[in-house]
Amino acid sequence: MRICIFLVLLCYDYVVYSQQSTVISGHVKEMGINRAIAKATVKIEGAPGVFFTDADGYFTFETPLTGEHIVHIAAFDFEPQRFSLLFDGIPIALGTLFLQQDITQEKSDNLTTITDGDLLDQGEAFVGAPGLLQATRDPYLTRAAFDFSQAFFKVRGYDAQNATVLLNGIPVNKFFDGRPQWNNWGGLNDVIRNQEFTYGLAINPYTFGGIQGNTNIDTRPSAMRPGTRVSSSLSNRTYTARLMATHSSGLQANGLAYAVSASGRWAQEGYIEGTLYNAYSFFGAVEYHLNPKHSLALTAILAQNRRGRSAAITEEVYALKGSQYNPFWGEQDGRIRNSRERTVFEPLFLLNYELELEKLTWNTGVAYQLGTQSRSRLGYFNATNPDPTYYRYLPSYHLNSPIGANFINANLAQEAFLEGGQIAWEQLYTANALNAGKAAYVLYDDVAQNTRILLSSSLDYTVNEKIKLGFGANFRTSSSENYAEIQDLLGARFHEDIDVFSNTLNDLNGNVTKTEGETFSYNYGTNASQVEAFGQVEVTGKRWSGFVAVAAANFDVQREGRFANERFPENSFGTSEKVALTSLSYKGGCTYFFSGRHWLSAHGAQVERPPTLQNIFINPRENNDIVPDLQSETVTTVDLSYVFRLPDLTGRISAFYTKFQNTTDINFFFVDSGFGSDFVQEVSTDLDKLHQGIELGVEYQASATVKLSLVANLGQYVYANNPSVHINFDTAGPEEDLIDPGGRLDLGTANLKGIKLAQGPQTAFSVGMEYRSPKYWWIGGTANYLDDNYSNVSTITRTQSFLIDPETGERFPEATEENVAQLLQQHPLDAMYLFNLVGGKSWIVNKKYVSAFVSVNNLFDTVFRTGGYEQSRNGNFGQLRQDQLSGRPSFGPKFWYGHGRTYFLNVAVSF
Amino acid sequence: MVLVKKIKHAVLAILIVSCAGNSEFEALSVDCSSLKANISFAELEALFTGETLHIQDDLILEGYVTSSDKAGNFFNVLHIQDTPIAPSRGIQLEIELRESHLFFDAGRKILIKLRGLYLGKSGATLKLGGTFSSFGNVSVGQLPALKVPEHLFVSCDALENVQPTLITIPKLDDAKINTLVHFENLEVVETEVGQPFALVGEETQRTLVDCEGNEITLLSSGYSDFQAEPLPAENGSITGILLKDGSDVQLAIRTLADVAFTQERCPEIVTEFTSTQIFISELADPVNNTAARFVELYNSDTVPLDLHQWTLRRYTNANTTVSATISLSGLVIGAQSTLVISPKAAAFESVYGFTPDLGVSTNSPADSNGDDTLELVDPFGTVIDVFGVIGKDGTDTNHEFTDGRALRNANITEGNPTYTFEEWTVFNGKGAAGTIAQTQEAPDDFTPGERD
Repeated sequence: MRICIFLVLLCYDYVVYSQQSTVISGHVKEMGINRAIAKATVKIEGAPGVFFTDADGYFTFETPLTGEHIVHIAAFDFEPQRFSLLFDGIPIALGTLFLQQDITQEKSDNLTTITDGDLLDQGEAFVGAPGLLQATRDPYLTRAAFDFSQAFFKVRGYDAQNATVLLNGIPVNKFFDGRPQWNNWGGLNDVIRNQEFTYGLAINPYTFGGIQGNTNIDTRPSAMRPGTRVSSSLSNRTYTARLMATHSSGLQANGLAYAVSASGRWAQEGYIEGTLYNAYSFFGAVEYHLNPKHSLALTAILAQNRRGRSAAITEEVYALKGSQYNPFWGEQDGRIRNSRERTVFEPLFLLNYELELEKLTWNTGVAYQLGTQSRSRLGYFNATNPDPTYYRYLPSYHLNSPIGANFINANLAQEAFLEGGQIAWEQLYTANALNAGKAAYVLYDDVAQNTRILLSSSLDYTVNEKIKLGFGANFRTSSSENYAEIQDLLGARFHEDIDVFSNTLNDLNGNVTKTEGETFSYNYGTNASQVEAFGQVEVTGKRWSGFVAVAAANFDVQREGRFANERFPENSFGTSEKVALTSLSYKGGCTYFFSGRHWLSAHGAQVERPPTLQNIFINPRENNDIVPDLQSETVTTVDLSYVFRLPDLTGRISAFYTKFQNTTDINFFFVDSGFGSDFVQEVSTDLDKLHQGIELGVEYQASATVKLSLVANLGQYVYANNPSVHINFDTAGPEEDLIDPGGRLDLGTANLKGIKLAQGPQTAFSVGMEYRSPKYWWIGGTANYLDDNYSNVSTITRTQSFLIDPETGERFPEATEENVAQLLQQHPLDAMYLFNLVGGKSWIVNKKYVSAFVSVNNLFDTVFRTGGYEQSRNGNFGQLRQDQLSGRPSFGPKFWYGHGRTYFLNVAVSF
Repeated sequence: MVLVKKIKHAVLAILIVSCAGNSEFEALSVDCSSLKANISFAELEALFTGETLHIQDDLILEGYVTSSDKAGNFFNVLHIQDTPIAPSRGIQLEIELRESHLFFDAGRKILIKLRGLYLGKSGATLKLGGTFSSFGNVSVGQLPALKVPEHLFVSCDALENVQPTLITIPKLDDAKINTLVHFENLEVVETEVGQPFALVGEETQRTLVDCEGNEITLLSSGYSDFQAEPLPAENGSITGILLKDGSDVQLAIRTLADVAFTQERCPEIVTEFTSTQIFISELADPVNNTAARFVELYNSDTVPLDLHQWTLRRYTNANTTVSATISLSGLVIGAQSTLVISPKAAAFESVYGFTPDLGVSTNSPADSNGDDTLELVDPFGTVIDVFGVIGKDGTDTNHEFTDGRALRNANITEGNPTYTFEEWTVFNGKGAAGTIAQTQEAPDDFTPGERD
């Protein structure tokens, strides 16, 4: 028997001095194929020590604890085991312990179908959470990731920018929206599965991180299980088929380890109509261990993802076309052609060095990323809107006519919409062909071409049994070229690059005519960089442990306009003023152990952070304007958790309170406001939000084969104040049509305080049951209830401008407080009831491990809305009320509909 | 650095080529139709029997678009006619389709599946489309946008050169409504020259006129591209769609190019002439018959003169303001001829045996009792001739012809705006101030209609 590696201190404080210590030993192997499992963790629950098995799967350790304790053995890719032992000084030889391959591996294969799905279309707000949580075994978070995610549930109602994702210790969240781009490594589940997750404000060795939690994805091949795995999936969610193959060498005697992986995912059409899916991913990594202390790893990740997007729809459209309807596509040559595709291809190259000494771990890495994200879109220029759900095309347009409802025409419109309702590509080609070469319709891409260099270094030093120190610094720089590019002129010969509303040139110094592949409409770059340093100290006492961490960062960004825009001749071309913001953040936490089975922990943090790029520049496509008096956001948060880990019952209950202050938000829309009509940028500043709630997750091992679980979330996520609002617009139109000749109008404050945030369901309950047969099959089901989900409200309608009659300039006489309150009342979306089933079976065939996994979501095929938003078009009381009279508003809220009954089937072979 | 960039781009290019899926779609050709028409415009019109008709038969109509919304002067409407040249009829097609010129521009042959459309008539205008509903009455209104592609098809035939029908305002007839017509020699009425085609946001009517003074309304949209353009001063040709609103015939152009006003305006029609060779030649107040009073004018010129806007004024007694006026408009005085005006035409005829050139009322300037002042005034307000002195009662002066006669001496050939006694021979009952005291009797003492 060899001596196990000793990493973190044993908790000697726990010792009752008169007792002698107990030696525990065992041998950990893979069930079925009897292969030893190296680097499995062994720990005593409630005590802060962790031990590892050696390369041959053996472990031995000594504990000063006495009495009954739970030993927990876990290994990456395996189902953990926990069992109760009595420590009384007599050595315990556990013999061979078999771990079964983890079925959540298959579950997380399935999970990615959710993460890179249509959720992205909700402004990508959601995607972080489920991806982030796949490494956790917390029953609450597991349920949030695997079940609630269908309903766009967000843990604590947080936006994904509150979680930091790291690749080999390098933070990779983007400056644009603060979020990680999961598509950058999508489809490579086998090689990104090695994840280290810290929830909430818990200390993380690599980063100060976000308040939601942090995940480090370890892509080093030495940490991957050697062997080959091939899997194939079928589904009717976002893709219909997937193939994935991975080979990993493990750490070889010569100190080398390598891994390669490739996958493809395809769909002509996902669950939502017209959503094609086409993704290819490649991964290669090689690692060299100079000696046990020094290692170097090189990783290349190339993930290309192209898919057709889908739209939020009004209730009117849903009633006519159903929840799977998507207006973005139409048939061309008998094939689906989606007018709004999204392609992400941003290869990542990582070089990492690790120094591992007895008391010190030092990780340093550099990442280089380049590539593009593009979204296609149909432009129409002096032509009719090609969107079949444009309000003038729908029956409601004829019902809401100011001269009275026309039911016959409404019926005609309904017939036509039911019959068609898709993009009429042949019409677009016809219009272009008949018009002497000049394009009326253009299919173009909004392209963001990004180059990033990320440097990161972090160091963990164990001073002694009680004190651990950590330091880190990272530097991230990102330059981004943003422009519109003509993808397809749809049969025309050229496009005239003129803003048709104001008859002004978009590119004063360029040709007015543009052809395929050329940049048009807008073109600008941003250069952003951030340097961040953090330090932390962790102290472990007799019955408690605690930490404090502090981080300081300096962020700067500058825009550079490449087009001189005739609407903004003064400030469209050239560099903007440089925005620079420094921020200082603190966090700390402590845990008090009542015993090894019960503990209480509390955390608090005050985090400063710069706004994301999308909330710094007001209208970056056209000018250099920056949000006036730009300030860093401040997040103040505390949470308290009680954790219990009894032999049969484990769980956690937490309460949290988080305030986001001084946030900024920018929206774009066409509005008929009390002061006139225009396409505006709406800037809200000094916006505060409050998130508070309680989360509960309990798991009960009813028998050796049956596990029951209960999860609940009671949250309240609201606007906490009334932000200041102003709108910006160009002044190129006829003067009499301008809202204000200055191009900017202060609207005062918006009455948002108390309004619910559109951050997913705020209430959730779930019960689950899992049966695990000794015969290597397993089935589980969860029943989920989610409620208090709200759509995003329009801000401009909550300002005083809403009360003004644009005809008279006076307040609408009928706009009494009661009438306005009634009109603007926020209604929750319907509660959702979702029943999900999962099951799996594994076999050993010729020493090959074969597993099958099936998941059925929303078994009862219920229809539910995951979210939505109010349209801001009706920006004055009179118009909004008029629009709602018929009961079928033309500009009612738009909603996203969840998937009905869907399945996912996966078969994998490992050898 | 440049090298790094090059490598970067090369790597990226290779990766993109190797990874990108095939998103290419072949360009589609024009989505055109070869449907065959099975109903004529006349047959379609005959289907209308006074009620808005919801067409249920599989009928196909073909026609040629004449209107265009390219310049924004037409909105959600297409005007089509049955043939590109010399059409027999036109139809107005109401569709909720903006920028319809992209598909159905002027000259395009189109095919219309009539089944499901509504047919109606508004005055003389035949209409096809969806519905318009007002107080329960259904008339033809705009066809909802998404329905348009179900009914309207671009023909595979090439763009046709639709020739406007040359026409004049007096020759307009209802069969030309909704067709493309062409006028020569029109101009904007003088009062509207230089004004914009249309007021901002308002449908505006302007008046066009030909050299004969015939008028037609020019109808333009306040949202058209040329709305603010000034109406030209010149004369010339204009092409447009003929419309009719009630009894008002209107013309609507597609673009400014439809207006070719480049010639000089029509010559002004001069209807007002002056002459000093017209004057009062005889005044009569017969002592025996006041009903036989008259005024005689004489034109000593060798050409006739239109007396349009000429007047004869009377200042009664010592009045200094005009007491009565006779308009001579409508009368032409012949060369070296007289013109006789009688206050009592019937009596005059019975006394003198012929009808006077102009019969007027009693107490008019032709009915002077001999002590009043008379003025002959040309169209421009110039006094050409006068008898008497304004402000001076004629009684006992050299310009009293009470019960007598004032005769212009035969040697006088021109009017005189200042009363000159020497030009006259004046008879009355008193003989004051050089006049002859000799009352005169009708008819023998007078010579109306004669100038010696």
